Amino acid sequence: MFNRWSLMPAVAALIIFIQTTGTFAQPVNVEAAKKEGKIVVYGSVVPQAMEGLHQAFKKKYGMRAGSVTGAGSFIPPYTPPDENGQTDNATPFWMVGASGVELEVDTETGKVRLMRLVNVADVGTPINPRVVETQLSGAAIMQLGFSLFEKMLFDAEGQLRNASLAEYKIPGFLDVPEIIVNEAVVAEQRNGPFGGKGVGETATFGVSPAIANAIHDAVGVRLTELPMNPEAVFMAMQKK
Amino acid sequence: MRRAVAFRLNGEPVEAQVAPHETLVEVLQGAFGLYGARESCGQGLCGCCTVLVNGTAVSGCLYLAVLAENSDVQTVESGEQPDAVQEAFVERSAFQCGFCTPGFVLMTRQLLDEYPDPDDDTIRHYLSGNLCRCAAYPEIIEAVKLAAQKRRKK
Repeated sequence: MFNRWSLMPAVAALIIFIQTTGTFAQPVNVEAAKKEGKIVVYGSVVPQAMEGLHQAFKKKYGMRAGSVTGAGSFIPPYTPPDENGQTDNATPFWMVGASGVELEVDTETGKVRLMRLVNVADVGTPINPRVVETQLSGAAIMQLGFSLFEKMLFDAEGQLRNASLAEYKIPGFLDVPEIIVNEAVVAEQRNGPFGGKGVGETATFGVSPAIANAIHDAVGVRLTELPMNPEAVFMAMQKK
Repeated sequence: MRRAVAFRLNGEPVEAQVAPHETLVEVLQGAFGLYGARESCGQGLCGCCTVLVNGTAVSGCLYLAVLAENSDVQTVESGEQPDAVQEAFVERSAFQCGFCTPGFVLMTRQLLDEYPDPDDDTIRHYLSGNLCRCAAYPEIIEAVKLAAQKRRKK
């Protein structure tokens, strides 16, 4: 596994940064971390670089901390698809998320109101739990906009007709469900840094199907297109 | 056809040469290098350009700079930096990209002046004119409540 990481100066810099700022009471043990398969640093850049680094920070920033930037590359394992278009090794990790909603449908207007939205996701080990939660909640609310009202309208010439926030509504404070719960399940991504993997869009997957299922449960219509705006819900109910 | 417009900016008396069509955001950025208020929708719908004129929040993208003559203009850069509201937004990570944050901070200051201990509903309605594309709304509610606590302690 280790040799897959061809060069990781960014991770090395991160370790140096943590040690230098003293954020952790215990210095990061690179060898132990390697054995655990969490952090992989090629070469022995860390011990040598440590010596002058305190001084370098002090000189540049006037204190023992500052921003470290670096560039690195990670070439993930990959197996090309076979003649049937199948491969068991297409991506270094899969994102897994799920959502549940509780909603009300106004049967006179077709308007859907969410009372509760619960999102869970496998993000590997949450490295910064607060940021993970913000990412999950932000992604879910953005998807809520795509699910319920965001729609780009084009005219016959292909010109966008609603290119402004007056006509293309995005979720505002009053669109957010009263109760929103976001949680990362306990997990570890063994080939990711510190056991983590990407968060970004993980909370978007489940939102639209959860809303569609809940609408079906509430008023018995099955919507298969987005957005599920009042017009779409109302028309579907009329056809029933 | 520029003319001199004098007003108070974050407590200091200032003067700028302003063209009649220039908005307050353009003048704050161009003449004073203040980039806290920034234009997003340009229609007064998103709250990113919020500026306080004589203590009232206005959309800086629609407010003509000449109208600010002799008034008291406050931007997110005014006062103690960071203030209780800014600290609370940082502590609660109430943003992702941060583009909308100055508008939210100014509206929150005004909200807490009016309602020192706001409930969720008051916060939602008061801030409903500010949009956050990263949808950090739940965190913003937490941040506003934390800011209210911090202000009461001070």
